Amino acid sequence: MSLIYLIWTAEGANSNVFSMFEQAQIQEFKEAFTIMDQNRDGFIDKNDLRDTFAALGRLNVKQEEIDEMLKEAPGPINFTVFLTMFGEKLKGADPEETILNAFKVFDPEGKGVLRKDYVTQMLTTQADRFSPEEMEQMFTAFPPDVAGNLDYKNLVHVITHGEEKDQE
Amino acid sequence: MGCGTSVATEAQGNMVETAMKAAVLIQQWFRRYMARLEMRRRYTWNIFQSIEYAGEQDQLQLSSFFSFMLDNFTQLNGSGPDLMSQLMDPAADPWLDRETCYNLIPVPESYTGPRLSFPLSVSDTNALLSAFKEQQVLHARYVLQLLYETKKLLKQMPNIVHLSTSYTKEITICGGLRLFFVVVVQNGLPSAETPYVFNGDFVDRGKKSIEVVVLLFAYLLLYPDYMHLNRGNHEDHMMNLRYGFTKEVMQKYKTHSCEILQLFQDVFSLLPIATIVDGKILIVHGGISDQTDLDFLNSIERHKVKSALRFPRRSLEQLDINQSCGQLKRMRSTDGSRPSSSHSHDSAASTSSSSSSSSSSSSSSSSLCSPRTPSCLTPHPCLSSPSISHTISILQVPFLDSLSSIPPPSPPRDEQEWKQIVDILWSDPKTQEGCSPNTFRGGGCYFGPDVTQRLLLQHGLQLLIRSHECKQEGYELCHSGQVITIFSASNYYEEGSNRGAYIKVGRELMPRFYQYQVSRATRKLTLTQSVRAAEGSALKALKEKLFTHRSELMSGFQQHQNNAGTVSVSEWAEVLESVLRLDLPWRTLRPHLARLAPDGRVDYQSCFEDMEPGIPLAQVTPNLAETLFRYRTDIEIIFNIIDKDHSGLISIEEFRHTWHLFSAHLGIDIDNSAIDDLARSIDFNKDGSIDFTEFLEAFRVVHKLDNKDQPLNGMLKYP
Repeated sequence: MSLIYLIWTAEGANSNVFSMFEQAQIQEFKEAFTIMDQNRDGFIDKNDLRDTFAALGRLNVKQEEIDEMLKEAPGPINFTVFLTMFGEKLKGADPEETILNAFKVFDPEGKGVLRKDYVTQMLTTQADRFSPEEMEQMFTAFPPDVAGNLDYKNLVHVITHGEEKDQE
Repeated sequence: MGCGTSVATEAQGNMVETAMKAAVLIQQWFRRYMARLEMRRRYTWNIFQSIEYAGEQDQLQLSSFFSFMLDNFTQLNGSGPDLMSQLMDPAADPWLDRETCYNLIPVPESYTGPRLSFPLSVSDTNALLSAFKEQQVLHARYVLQLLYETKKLLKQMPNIVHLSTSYTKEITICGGLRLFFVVVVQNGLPSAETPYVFNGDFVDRGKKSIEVVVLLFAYLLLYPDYMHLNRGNHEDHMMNLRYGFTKEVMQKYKTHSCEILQLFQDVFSLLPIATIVDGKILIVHGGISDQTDLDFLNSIERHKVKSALRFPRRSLEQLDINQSCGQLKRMRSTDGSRPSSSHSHDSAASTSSSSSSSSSSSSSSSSLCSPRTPSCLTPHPCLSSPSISHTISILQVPFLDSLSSIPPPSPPRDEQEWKQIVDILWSDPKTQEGCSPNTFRGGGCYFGPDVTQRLLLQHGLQLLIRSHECKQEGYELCHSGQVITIFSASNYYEEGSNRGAYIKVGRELMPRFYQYQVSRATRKLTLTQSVRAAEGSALKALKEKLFTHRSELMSGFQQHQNNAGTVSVSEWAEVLESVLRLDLPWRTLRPHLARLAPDGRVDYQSCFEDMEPGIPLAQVTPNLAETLFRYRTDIEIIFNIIDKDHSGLISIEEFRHTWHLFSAHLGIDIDNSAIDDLARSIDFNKDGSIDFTEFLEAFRVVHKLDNKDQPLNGMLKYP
């Protein structure tokens, strides 16, 4: 869901996209594209979308939703489009600080925790809204405590540093 | 309305905007994290699958080696017919068709396992169920009797079995079963209320194959109308040699393994090839090809095709293999590239094998693919990539490869029949149209949606259900829903690697899917944890692959390296792909496999850093060591066969003899004295015999980071 969703939040396509990246980077993105392109036909299509949704836990995506998203896309998602849309975004890791500050916007008193309900409201009702399933994914991976508080500092730390560890 | 209010509104507006920006950041960041996790999950899957299929290609080497042995010398040690010639020669042993094969076997008083009485009743199958849950082994006498009765029953069945939903409730369809118990616990034991079709692959892998297949046959005898078995590609004695079933039988039934294996061979080849439900749903294990003809299929004598890996003998003789074999081999090792004959080569095949594909797979596809187009022989490049020096030739071309340069005559009926069955048992669907040789597996075809469409139309069918491929969700649809893959073994590669699924279909012929996942862990793993676990296991297996191909890889790296002894990431990826041919996302995997030098180039030596052999192998040259690592499984199988009394020991003479043959066949240039030294060094107690379990232990790849607390094995053990 997240990968494809990013397409619709990007600016326009840049025809000179290949010059934006080094050869080595392009090779890496090609690999990422191939991984997502499950039926190996050179396009990320409806089936890949649906499978991606399913893989990320969203088994109930309606056909209309998928069609809507595909309609909004500039065209079938081939490698060039893919590269334009999320070459940077796929590899780029926001620094821990940036994300922490984003959370802190909702925690002006700096308590380090946020109420689960508030997080839900904040993420599912505005901007690039989370679906209920996505919200559930976050809370399953990072369960709030018995009082219903989400330790966002820990969440950010684990995701940032957990992945660093996996890269070793 | 006034300055104050508008400032307040503006401030509010700013806050809202800030909040939204913050929310966007968090949402995008978390989604990217989930996406990266999903990518890891997928490439982990790719790793498992490609290694598995690479293994399947290797078994063709083994089968060609057996044929080579059989053709080139009579007996290993001069005594009577041994297991190997029994296995190789499809001539039926009449003794096994008589009841005395089991009647004469005494069952001791002390035996506490199930004592079956035929014809079987529910109490017998229940006894089997409880016995197996308690890890009991069924006595050889009953195994033989069960197989004998199964053989009798199967002989009466046609190649294609027709079922009707009007007499039965919903039919349950499973494929690739390893955990019989899991499915029947959820869905119910086979009975009139719960009829089953088991779509092949009942054995190999895991240590409980005998139990599973005994239960399946027991239920088949008990409920022949409600229990249906299709043959799979693992119901094949050659595959069993490679994938563990033969070994399991030999270990559990030391005295009677010969007869038991022989009867299994007969029974497997008598299993029906296909099942059709209500004349509309075709169920086969692998798939179809553009040559599949159900009427022809129904007419052949299916038991004659004992193994997909034994090419019909007549054709081999026609082509006079033995003589040309040696010469062709030598020619090939010096000829890096040859002009490719025309062949259908689409992207489905090319993702799994580039033009420098493993010649065992390409040769097998030439022999195992459609003889209709003899020019569709895929190219046969040398296994080592052209850039690699030819003094290192660890792998060699199997003898089947020699078929490539000689166009086969128009196929005799034998071969046509064999191909019909092999296509059914081995083929995989692909998205592109057309039908091409399945180079990934070395047998059968890739069939496209047009092939499916044509066959279904031709026979008035509406759906093809098949298994043969492990799917992450346990099932997958393709060809616009006309083909369903159903795979019932969850955690096939690793804990959490995939779900299992089965299908239920009733009179309305709409398949319903049931998924499950077995978890050994008592607490549920988070997605991250299970991805990480599966990924770790896949990477280990991949590193072992690197280790066992070290010489070739190093040679490749050295050709590209600069003065500092590093290579670029692209060069690194190229070498890996050309040697290993696994079609994996190497650049994505690079951080797990190799370190970067400060200038961003790859320090390729770091690929091999954290692995080492089981015991120090001072006497063994690198060539020999790698070969032994790579062929460890095959060598083990051969030892098992030579070791007639199953003592775990073979004589030094036998070891030497076998090894010489093996290396001659592989074309390895190994000094004879190196073998002798090796043999002597392994004979720890100097009594002229080798404990080959210990020998093989030495050639197991050890991961250094795992090994910290384990005591030294191998050399320090005493009998």
